[in-house]
Amino acid sequence: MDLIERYLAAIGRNLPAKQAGDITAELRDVLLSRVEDREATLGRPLTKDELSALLIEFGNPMVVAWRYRKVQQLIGPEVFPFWWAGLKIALAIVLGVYLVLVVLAALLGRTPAQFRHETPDLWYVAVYVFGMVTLVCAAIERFGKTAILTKWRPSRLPPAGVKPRSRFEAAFEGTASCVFILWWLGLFHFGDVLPLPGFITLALAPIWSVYRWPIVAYGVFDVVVNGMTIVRPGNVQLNSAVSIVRHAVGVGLLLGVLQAGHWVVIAGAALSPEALTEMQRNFDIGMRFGLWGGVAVMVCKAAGEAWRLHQARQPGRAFA
Amino acid sequence: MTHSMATDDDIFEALRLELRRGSLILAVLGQLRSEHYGYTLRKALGDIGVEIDEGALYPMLRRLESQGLLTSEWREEEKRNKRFYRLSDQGRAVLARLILEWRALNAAVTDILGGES
Repeated sequence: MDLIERYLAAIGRNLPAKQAGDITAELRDVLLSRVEDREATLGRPLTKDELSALLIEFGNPMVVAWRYRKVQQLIGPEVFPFWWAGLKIALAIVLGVYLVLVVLAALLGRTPAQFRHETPDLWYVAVYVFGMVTLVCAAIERFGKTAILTKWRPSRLPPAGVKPRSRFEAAFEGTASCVFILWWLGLFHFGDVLPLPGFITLALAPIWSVYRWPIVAYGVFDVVVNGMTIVRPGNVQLNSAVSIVRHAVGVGLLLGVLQAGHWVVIAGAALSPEALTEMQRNFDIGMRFGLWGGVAVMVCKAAGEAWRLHQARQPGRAFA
Repeated sequence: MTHSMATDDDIFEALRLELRRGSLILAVLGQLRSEHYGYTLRKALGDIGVEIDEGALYPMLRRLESQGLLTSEWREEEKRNKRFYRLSDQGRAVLARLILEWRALNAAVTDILGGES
């Protein structure tokens, strides 16, 4: 019977202190009744192995104890879809920040070691975000505030047959723009002029100073447009219309910047003037390709939004 | 066509448990119109074909008691202290409503299923 007492003690340790004595007393009676029944059937006392088998059949002490708990699940079926969606958006934001930081670091010649030193580990941040989203949803579940999440209005649903822009994409782009703006305004530094391996330095060409504030304004507009999609993804017509404007403005800015011909200034005392000129030429070609690539992406995205807008405006779409 | 590794038996078992879950509470409340302690309650239910796992029964009794549907008291019987449960007045009222619900649902489902065996 020592085994039964050890089993009940293990259950008791996993119960709220106030109830532990009462519940284990009841379970003791249940187990002893079971043992007596089994012994009556066999006509002899149970062996230690038979008693072990009986306790295993009754259940793992932690599982048995947990069934008495008020809270049976961390996040229930009502909150789970919001946990999943929230997690996707939060991780998109993390990825957006990292993508911009990686691109900036690459453009500015940071080594992987410097980048790792200057930014927190991606996995650490992802696990932290996972924990925070889970904690918030678990708190909503625990305190029964699920109505905060589940309240909705049918009028805010997107038209049928039209796929609204995903919140994940909007969160990713909006965050990337936020990080870019902060860097562009010099609110955090990878360095405006950074050393490339050993012997040359790279600086932004004067054209970027001319477009400094228009680019900030565009970045802010981009954040607003993405924010609108995150808050009201079902408002397809308005979101698509402002997105088209956003991409058109972006194309205009890029075409303006492309007029310059030089986008970075390379210097390096250790290099001959010919070598510097060659390097400058190669950088400019690379930048030109990159900027035209940006124009092409924005035109494609504007066309995609125009098509979405066209579909959303089709009569009868809402009831298709 | 295979959507998952679950066999028909697994699916049936999962659905059977789901189907039984709600009705077990009704059976327990109904049985506790007369006083029982857990062990005899489980036996009484088992004798009429309502098998219930002990791991589910005892926490259910506590929950129903904390909701005010049952009352309980410790008493000595067969040389051991046992906790006896019985339906409270509130439990009786709730059970009456649940029985109406059960009968309506049962009649509707029987209508749908018709003569299927």
